[in-house]
Amino acid sequence: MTHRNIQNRLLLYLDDELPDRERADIACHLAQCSPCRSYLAELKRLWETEPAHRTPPSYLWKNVQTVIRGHAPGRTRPTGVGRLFPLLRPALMTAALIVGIAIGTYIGNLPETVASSENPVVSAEAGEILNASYLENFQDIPPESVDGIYLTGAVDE
Amino acid sequence: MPAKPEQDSAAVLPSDPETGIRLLFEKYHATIYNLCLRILDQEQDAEDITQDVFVRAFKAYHQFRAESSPGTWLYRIAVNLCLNRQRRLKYVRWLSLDVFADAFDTPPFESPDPGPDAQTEQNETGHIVRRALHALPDRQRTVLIMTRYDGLSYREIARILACSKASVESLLHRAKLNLAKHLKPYLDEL
Repeated sequence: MTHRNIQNRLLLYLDDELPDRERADIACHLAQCSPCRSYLAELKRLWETEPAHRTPPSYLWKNVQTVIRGHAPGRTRPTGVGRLFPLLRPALMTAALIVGIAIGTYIGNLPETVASSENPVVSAEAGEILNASYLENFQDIPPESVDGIYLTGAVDE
Repeated sequence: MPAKPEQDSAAVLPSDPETGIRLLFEKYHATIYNLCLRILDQEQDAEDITQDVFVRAFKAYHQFRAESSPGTWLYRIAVNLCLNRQRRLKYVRWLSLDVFADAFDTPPFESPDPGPDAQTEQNETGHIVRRALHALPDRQRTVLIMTRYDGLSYREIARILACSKASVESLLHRAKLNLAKHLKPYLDEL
């Protein structure tokens, strides 16, 4: 392990949260490496400093009391259908999304539908043209139309 | 000495909500305030959340069941509120509202400027650790604070965070690895 790897694991080493083997490897490294020992000492100093315990401001209870005197406990939770509102909201959003997609799809198909209802003959022709434009019929290259050299790869010498 | 949630597992709350909340407030408000302060690193936010914890506890007073201790219940409310606050703060940052984001930005590591006495040194040391803690992901920081500063057991933290004990152990392991990385720039300067 490199110095960096060792140093990154020293906090776990200090708290004795490493597997035995890894702990032994680090202890072995520390025995030979002075910079890592200094690093450990500094880390220990930082880690073991007792945190300052702050006293909360004295007006907190007054604020809490003011708020709770305006409320009756247990009456804020909605009852009946109201309780389902948190579940209904995502369901309604999903339903709205599905309706939106359905309307979009319907509008997207609308011109074709109108054409077919107004004039079925025109619409059939239009359909063929559309099909022809989309389904291009790639025929194999007739062998006689191309010089043999291109098909066989033979070169006259 | 701050109260710990496991200490009163057999406690029975009085039937009057205001009296009950008053008792809980007297016992736990300092612990909850310090927990919020460490998670959020903002005094005003810590005050707001502490008040909110007891107001919410009051509103849900009759729904509290003695399956866990009142302390664990309050911790759970506090942690959820803090994590929600942090999440909202991230949205604010994401929306690039720099005016607000600047107020919460954690400054980069500063070199310590050791003062003449031990108190100053302790403050500096605390400041460095606090900065490093604040650079951790929210849940990792929360778990680390609850074990390190509040002395809660893994089982208790698992209850508070509504996760498994193994998840707590894993979070804590990653938190310590990350914290060591965040402390490294400071320690390298020494």
